Amino acid sequence: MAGSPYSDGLCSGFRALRRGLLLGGALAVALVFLAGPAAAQDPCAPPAGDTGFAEVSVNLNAGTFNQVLPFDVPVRVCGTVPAGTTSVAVRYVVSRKADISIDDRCNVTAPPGARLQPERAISGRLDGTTFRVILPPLEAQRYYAFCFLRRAKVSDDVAAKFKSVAGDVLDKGLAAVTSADMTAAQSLKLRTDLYNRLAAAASADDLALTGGTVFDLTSGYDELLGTGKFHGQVLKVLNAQHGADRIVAGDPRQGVKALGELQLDLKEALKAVQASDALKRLVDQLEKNAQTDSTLQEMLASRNFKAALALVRADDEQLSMIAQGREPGEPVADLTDPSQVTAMASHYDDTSSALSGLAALIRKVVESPPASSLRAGLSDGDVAALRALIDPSGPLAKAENLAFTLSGLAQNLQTEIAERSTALNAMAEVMRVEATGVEGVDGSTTGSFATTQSNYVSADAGILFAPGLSESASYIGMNFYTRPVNKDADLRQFGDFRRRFAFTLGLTVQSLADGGNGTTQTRQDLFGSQSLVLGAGLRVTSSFRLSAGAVVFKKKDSDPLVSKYGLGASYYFSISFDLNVARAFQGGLGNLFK
Amino acid sequence: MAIQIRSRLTASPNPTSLPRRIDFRQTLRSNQNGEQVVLEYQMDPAHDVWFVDGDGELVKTIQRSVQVSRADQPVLTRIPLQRGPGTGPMVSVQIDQTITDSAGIKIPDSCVLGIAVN
Repeated sequence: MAGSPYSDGLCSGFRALRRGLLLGGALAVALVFLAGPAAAQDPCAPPAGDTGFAEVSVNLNAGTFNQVLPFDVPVRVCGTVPAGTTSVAVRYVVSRKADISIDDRCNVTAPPGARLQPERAISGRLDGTTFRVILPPLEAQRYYAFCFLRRAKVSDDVAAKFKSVAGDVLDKGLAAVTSADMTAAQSLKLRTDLYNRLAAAASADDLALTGGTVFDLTSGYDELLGTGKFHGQVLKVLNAQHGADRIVAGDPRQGVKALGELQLDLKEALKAVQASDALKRLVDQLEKNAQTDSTLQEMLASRNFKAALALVRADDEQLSMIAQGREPGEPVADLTDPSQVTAMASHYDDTSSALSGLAALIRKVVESPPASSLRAGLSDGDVAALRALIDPSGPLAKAENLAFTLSGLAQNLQTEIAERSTALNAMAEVMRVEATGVEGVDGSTTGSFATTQSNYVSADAGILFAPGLSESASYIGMNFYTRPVNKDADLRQFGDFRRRFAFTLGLTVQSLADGGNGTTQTRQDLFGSQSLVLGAGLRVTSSFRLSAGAVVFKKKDSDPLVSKYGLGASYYFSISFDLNVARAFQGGLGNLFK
Repeated sequence: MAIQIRSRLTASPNPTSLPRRIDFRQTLRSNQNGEQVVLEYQMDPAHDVWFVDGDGELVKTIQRSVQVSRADQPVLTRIPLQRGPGTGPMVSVQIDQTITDSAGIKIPDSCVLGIAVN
């Protein structure tokens, strides 16, 4: 081979390469010194050595990556975020064409059918204002749009405002639940519904729910049940609203009357009391006697008797108000307002006491001797009628019982409303939000011709054996893949056929020519002292390849009288190293084997 | 002749696993001494949680009688509960109580019982 044009060319090539390497090395040293301080300040400067990831930097403000994105290997993206950021996560959309469009809230508007993935955003690791997030291996020759989702602390005012919003959301969400009878599936549905309502309310103000402070829909842990953190509060809310519903609306299945029905019963009982002529005569007589009897006057002026006398003389509208637990000038009580319900209970208490006092007075009258001044002006029939009035089954006892019952129900209703409100506030108090920000960044694993050609081509060097020629020879050549191949990708993970298979084109390093030493020459090399190697093979490991094909040479005509050489070929088997061409030219031939 | 609920019905232990005897507690008062009242406990007939009556039968409604005085009176009712046929497994059930006073007026109370799924 010495002195051949080919070997001369190879030597001059190596000399050029050596010069290039020396020049490149000098430049690299200069650059390190010049860029040293800046690199030390760059939190996203790639670490020295192989980290097992493809290191990529992102500029969220500019919306760009610092390079074409590598494919088939895990990518570690590094970037910086404003101070106060509490978390960073990323989702992305992928397309074969550069036709992706996402809006400022990270909603995918194009291409049709495209959606963000993965389902759950990939969380990054935050260190001060620097974050790193590991992306799964990306697909080759694709366009990507990444949504970096940032969260940051909110001010106390914003947090307080959200608690109020959360309270309202929970109020409305739980009000729709008509029964606390729940299976696990119904509990999950309720949690999901509440979570979605809360998330929507937060999102409307560019806020997001802070994980761990609301219902966790992914853990399989049910906060509404057992020892769950919302168990007690949710059940309190459901119990209280169910209790309030039963008081206000009654429970026809159990014969429990609605509050309004009991109020009507009270009005009817009061009317029945009022209808007693004997009572009217008693009251008239007592008031008449009181004008001359200061003791009686004092008794009738007491609070209970005054109220009792007012009851006896009330008109229909006044009776309605008394039955509804309100006083003249007061509107009908709002049964969701605890203060109004409390006032209602107080009025029923007054009514109950007044009726009690009236019953006590009547009892005193009917039990006093016939000659007593208390019975002055009353006939025996009046006394009998008064006895009937205070009989346990009489209208006065009925009215008294109803007023007592309504007072209790109003107090219970107030308790239910207050407990429900307290439980809602307690839940809202636990919930936290963070401010959200979305940054869109475009990326691609489809580079220019210069950056992608190395994904299809690799260098090949090995030894072939041609059984038909009984010859072996080393060869160098190129492998041509039918798809982009990242030699850094783990073949165990990305080892499908097209990532292993390649066509091979090469030249033997040694001559396959025969003859000499007195033997007859039957073949010559195709080019000078090299023969052509054409074949195909499969990578067994990242670099080790088994191939087969044909070695092409010049073959002497089989007619001994003809001295012409024609094309000849013989099959071969080879083992070779699939080498990284790009690295070879970037960092010296030693990198061929990396 | 009439009843007021002074403190609402509670169940203990809550939450609970089943079968288990549950203590239902509340405080009542009457506007007369020694008033006889009926306490009736009900659950939805469709689900798989049942009361166990004195004969060991699974029932959805169970009654007790108590006397209530004018002063606030704690009332304790112990009722065994267990799973039976029906929709489930339930993780919480609502127990409705209806109190009928001696005049026939019915007033409602209720509590929710959390149930551990075995």
